[in-house]
Amino acid sequence: MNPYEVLGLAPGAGDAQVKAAYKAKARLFANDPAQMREIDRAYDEIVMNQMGGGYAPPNDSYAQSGVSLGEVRAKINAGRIDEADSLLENMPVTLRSAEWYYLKGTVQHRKGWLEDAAQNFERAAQMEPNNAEFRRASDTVRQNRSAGYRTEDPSKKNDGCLHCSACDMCSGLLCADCCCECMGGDLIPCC
Amino acid sequence: MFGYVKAFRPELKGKDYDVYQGVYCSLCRRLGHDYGLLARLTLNYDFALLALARLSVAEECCGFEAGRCSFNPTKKCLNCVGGAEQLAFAAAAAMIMCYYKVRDNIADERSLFKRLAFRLIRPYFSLKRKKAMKQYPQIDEIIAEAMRDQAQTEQSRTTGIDAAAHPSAQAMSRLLTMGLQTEKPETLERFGYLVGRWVYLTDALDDCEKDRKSGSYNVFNLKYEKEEEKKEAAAGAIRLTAAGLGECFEALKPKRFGAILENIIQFGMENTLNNVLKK
Repeated sequence: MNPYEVLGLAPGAGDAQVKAAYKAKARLFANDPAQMREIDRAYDEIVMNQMGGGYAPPNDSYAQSGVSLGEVRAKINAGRIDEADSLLENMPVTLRSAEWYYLKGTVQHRKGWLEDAAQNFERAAQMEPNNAEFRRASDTVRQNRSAGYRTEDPSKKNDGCLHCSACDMCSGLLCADCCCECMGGDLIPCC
Repeated sequence: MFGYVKAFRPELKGKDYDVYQGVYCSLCRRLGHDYGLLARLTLNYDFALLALARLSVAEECCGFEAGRCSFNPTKKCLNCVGGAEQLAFAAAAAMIMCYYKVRDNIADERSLFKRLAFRLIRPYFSLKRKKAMKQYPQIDEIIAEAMRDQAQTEQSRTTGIDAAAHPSAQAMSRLLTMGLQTEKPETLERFGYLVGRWVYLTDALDDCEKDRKSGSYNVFNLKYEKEEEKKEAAAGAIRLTAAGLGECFEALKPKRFGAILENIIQFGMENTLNNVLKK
């Protein structure tokens, strides 16, 4: 589809017009990842064409932008948040995958920009609903939103050792006896 | 605007409550000692938290001795022995903050009478600020910068919650970490940032109605139109901040006063939020 049509513009529209149209569309479809991808792709295509040279949106690799998300992750883990952020910002809009949004959210979370981070986690989880990492991040946010800070209930903290009542001990012994009898031995001679 | 960050007494142990009150009383004493009787009236729990948090990670330990409140001699309270440096710091921050608050009010206040009142007390706070500045020039820089950034953000009328809270959050982060040598400076920075953010957002939610009537900038009013949606989203953002703060507190592992700080984050903040929501 013609990128100008996607943004609802006449072919050859000016820079400012394209930008304004992109912003308006993005706001309209902020909650629809499929539409957003389409709009992003159209915008990038127009911008790249204006800069001269044909531009075909690559499908899956980050090779063209010269940085990988692995590098971003390494920087985040090393605590170099600003560097990670500038790496992320330098990636073209079309190349932004679910993981990109997740990492962007992580960076914002570390900076204390919790609302923007929450939005990006949510978006990552929407784009790849089966990814456990993204889903965990967005679930945690949702939980914290409704509950705030909660420490674990101290009465439940000692659950490491199983409840061991007299009943449990008896049934345990009976079980052990059964096992012994299966193997030809006997633990409790009277039964 | 002040006094949102408070401990929640029913969930606090007696001994911890005494210590909490003791820090509060000592800060009051310090304000009186450094800046005079009138300055004591500006005392509030937000700056008690600043003192408490700084004391909790500071190298030197502060002890307590039994004493009496000088305003109400029948009331017994604990007095800090040592820790004078952190208390003086919090007192200076409180005085400087008050000056800027008064200046702000003169600019914003619509009622002529109130504006006149603020004008009358301004020279007093200006004097106190100069005194505080002599000892801690950086505090004034931090707060002045935050005020400038805040004015700029308000002028841009941003609807970004994070952007709106950033100047206050950053100022608190700097105030909390200034001059302190700790093992985990980044965690302490984040702790301060989130406290400042929490206070800003709670204040914004509390002022929603007032700002709507006067047409002043308020991020929640701009971002949400429906009353219900606004309250829910604001409460969500505030709780999310408190949750982040709790996580940060666990990583911080303060040297002392851990139980009090935990109580403030877990119950005190939630209690304040519920009071604001009920209004």
